[in-house]
Amino acid sequence: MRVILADVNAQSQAQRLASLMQAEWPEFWDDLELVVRTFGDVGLPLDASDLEVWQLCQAEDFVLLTDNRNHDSPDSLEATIRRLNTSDSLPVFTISDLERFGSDRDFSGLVVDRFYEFLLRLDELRGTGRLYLP
Amino acid sequence: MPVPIEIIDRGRGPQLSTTRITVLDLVPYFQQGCSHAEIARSIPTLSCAEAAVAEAYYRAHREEFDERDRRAREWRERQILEQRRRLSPPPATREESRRRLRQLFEAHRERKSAGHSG
Repeated sequence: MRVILADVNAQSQAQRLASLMQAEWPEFWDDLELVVRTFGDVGLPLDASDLEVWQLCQAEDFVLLTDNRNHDSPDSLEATIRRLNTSDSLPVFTISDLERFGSDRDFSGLVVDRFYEFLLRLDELRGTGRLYLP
Repeated sequence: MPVPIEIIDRGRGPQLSTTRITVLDLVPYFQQGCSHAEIARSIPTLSCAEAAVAEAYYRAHREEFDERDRRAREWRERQILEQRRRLSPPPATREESRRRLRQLFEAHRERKSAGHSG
């Protein structure tokens, strides 16, 4: 089973993405044994720090979907990645353009395909930090 | 007694005390004029009261947050360009994308079945 952990600010996106992924490629979804989990599902508090989130994802092999935008604060997700990322670390994923994801069918299809591609290549993408979809 | 909702900074920029959502995360919603109910629908763990506290803080520091938002967008664009240099760019069309994904899955299944039989 591969857990996609929806960040607090990305739950709706994660649900929409999961629905599209299951609708478009149900056999791939089943083959990869994908499930979406929220912070509550995995015991993370809603005010968890980026460090806590990162460490749990790495320890449990969860794939994080986040819309976190802060990159220049000392304890931001980016700072955590810069500090702790190793060649074994799982990447985190962000949809590059939420507006288009909600309104442009071709774009959301590309996001679906790209996410599947990255999940298939997950081991070779370890250590890449944050990856944008598509 | 309800938990007080405040803006605090734990090293991630100003954020709500009751959740890890930062004011910067919500700036696009405020700029688009979304109501608190619309924001809460889009982010189900966020209450209207929390959205209101974040928006009041944004309004009081609007210039600063609009500038932070502009920098965050620029930074994201740079990161995406950098990603396209490091990894193969995404296919230009959905048709091409679907074809490529199917090939990747076929290869994945072959590896999987070879692993099982070997």
